[in-house]
Amino acid sequence: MEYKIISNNPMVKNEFENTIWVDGNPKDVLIKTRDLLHQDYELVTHPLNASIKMVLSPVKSIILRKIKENKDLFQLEVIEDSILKYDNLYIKNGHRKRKEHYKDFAMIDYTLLKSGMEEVKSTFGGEFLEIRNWKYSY
Amino acid sequence: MKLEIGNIHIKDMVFGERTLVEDGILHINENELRNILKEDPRIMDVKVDIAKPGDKTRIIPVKDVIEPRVKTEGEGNGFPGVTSKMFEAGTGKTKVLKGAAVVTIGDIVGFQEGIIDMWGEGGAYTPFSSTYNLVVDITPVKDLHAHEHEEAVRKAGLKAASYVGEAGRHIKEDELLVYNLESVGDSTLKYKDLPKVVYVQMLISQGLLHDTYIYGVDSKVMLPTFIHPNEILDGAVISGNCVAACDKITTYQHLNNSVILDLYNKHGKELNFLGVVMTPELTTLEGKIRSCNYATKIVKSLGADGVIVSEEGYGNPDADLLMICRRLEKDGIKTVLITDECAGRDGSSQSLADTAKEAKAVVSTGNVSHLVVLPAADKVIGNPKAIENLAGGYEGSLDEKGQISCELNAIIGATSEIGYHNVTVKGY
Repeated sequence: MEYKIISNNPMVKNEFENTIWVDGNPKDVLIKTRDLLHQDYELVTHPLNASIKMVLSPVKSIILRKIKENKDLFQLEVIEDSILKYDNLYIKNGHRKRKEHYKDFAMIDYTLLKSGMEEVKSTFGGEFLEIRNWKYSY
Repeated sequence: MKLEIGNIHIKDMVFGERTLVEDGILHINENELRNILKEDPRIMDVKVDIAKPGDKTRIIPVKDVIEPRVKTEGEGNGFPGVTSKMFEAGTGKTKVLKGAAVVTIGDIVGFQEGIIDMWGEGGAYTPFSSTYNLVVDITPVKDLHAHEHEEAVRKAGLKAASYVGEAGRHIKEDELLVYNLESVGDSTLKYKDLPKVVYVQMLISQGLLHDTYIYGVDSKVMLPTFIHPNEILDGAVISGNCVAACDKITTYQHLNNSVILDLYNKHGKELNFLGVVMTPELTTLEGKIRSCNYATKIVKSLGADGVIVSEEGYGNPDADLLMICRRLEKDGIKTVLITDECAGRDGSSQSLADTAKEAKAVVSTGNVSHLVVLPAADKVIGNPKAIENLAGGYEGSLDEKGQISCELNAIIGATSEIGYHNVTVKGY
């Protein structure tokens, strides 16, 4: 199976060659994800995080899986709802633009992404493309 | 399974030459505690302090809160699989230093966690303003990886609670509570006219600072599981979760889970409480569907007529919450959801990231975006500037005089989704 990571997190871009790099903010990552879902990809990880702090993180990574055609309306609903919720929170709270904790946000986003990968590996047999061992220390 | 909880009421906390309880006053030998915690080679230094109810003291940024306890009858002691050898929690007798708490603080990453104010507006919102708090501030060795740092702080808090709890071993309790639940088969026969109710507790299970542990097992690698409520009340579940402060479930709150305690109160009178299903909130959609299917299957196998589901966190867990609700309601099982709301400062935004028509019985534990102003403290334990980087805080949250403006998001336990909190509803 072919997987892609949609991300604006430099740590992810540097580690995984199957990253579709988004030169923009997390909303751009969500939009790119939506566009791919309308083509031939499906969601592997949920587009939102589990804590409001990470929902408003300046970086975001989402795993997608290539399929023939996505006819799953539930998935389209999930991504549209996520964009709406993100807009709502962003308008009210703004992005975390401050640079001083950027590395921390990137590291947590990376860690959560790795958890998603571990789940995929445990259920679909380790086909996830990893080009380097996890040796990033921070 | 029968568990006795012996509450020893703590009326004050002071530093002393020995760690003991005398006339309701908890004395703590801070040097001995520091030395025990420093046995972990990952910990370079430990600072301890005391914060008392009513003091104009602010604790920030808080990681976890733990209740000091000791097991005096039955197998084992401490937190099984984490601070002690494995044993089955939930039986025998456990003594609790009621009114005391261990609070861990410190920066693991540069954001998240929360505030405890011991007085005023902030104090009114957190249940931990009314406990005598032993604050443990861990400085790790240089260049410790964030995962190792988080584990060291988590275990230090649990070890400190076990060390302090030991002071209650030979003290007679002021109050004895007994928690005894029959087997599902026995209670179904015994209370055949009462509705059968299961509690489904959702747990954040996603990675660094977003984890929960059951008997030391990381909940993100498990399938939903049936667990006896006594096990939760007796230390089987601990928090490794330092996310949004208002709705993270601290270890203290797991030990005093309000949903379980209320269901126990109604058991055999209004309803038949069958037990608890713990289900992980995973990052993948397939994981969410699997957990939802598995949790609902357990609930149905138990023959439940009704279910109470509590959430942890905000954002993608909303998907799990509504998914479980849809499945259960479609199968004819009446479902009540407990969640907080992220409804914007004026309360007008959609509360959850997901909706479902089946979610028609929902208990709200408060709006996390509600804005509060916290006056300057006389004493700050920790780093007051951390507020700018907490969920609910922002640049400019802390003014020159030390006053904080922030959302409830930043206050520990303010909108607890298992109901262990102070926010309530007022009718007009």
